Amino acid sequence: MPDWLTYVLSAWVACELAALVGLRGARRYVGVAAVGSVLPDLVKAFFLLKTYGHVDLVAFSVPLATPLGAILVAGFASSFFDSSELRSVFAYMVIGVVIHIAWDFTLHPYGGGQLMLFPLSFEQSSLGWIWSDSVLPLAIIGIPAAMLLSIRLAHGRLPGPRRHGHRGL
Amino acid sequence: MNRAWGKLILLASILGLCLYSQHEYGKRHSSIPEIEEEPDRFENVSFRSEGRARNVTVGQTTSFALVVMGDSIDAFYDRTVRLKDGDRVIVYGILHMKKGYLQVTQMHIYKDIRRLYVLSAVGLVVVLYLFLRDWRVDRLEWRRRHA
Repeated sequence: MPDWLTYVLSAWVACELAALVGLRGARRYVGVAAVGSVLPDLVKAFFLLKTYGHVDLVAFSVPLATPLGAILVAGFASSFFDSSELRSVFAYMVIGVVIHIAWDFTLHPYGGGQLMLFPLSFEQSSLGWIWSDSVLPLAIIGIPAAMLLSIRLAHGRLPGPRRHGHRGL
Repeated sequence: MNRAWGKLILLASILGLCLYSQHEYGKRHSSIPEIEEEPDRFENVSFRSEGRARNVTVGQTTSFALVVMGDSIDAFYDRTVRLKDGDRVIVYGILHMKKGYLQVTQMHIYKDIRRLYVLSAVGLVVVLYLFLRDWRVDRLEWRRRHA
């Protein structure tokens, strides 16, 4: 897996881009998308449990890192939010989950691979472009993140009333 | 009431998938203790895993113990590689369990796994900041701070 900063920055970039193209409220859910982007790594808690607690639930936890399983977990997590926000929270959390799985899909195959079609198939697949210890994903997402941050900072310097007008985007 | 049912259905679905995986994934992927228990079954079987290298000896060949989540298997690689004790590695190879070892055919040594952990720790701080900046718990429900 790439590092968590890559996932979180990717979620932030996705929400910023959505806001820039006019999707109202995208920035309001950046925190939720960020949580969604690390949600499939719940499976790592079971790796730690196996390593340090000698309780082997690794096979049990595998679905949490699959597309269907992670979306169900996102749905469950969303159900603990204010009912008026539920649909948006779920949508943005799923965006985070998709970002996570997309990054993991780029990794080298003999580190494992994604169970993309689980539970229909146990076949693992990946694009095999990047090793999981590479800083390449962070470098790739760091460029648009820096550009978007510059845009935001530039907006932040605008006079008060105009800045207020942009806040809802 | 509907929400409680929704939560229950989602939780049951997640648990159902996990139990299915426990049953089926376990058939396809065996842990090191399971492999060691049945050496005949795991003779000349391909193996892929990620773990730490311990007791490393580098000469004409490289030998080490691959430690995966607390379990260990002897591994041999017929190449000289810059492997140090404690390095995190991904290995791919063929099991020869009648003789009790893994013949490594491909191997990747993580350059600096600590960098991954440090960046992940920074990522965790950013997640917490972004989330808790906008949301607070109120009567067991996450609500927007500035609704």
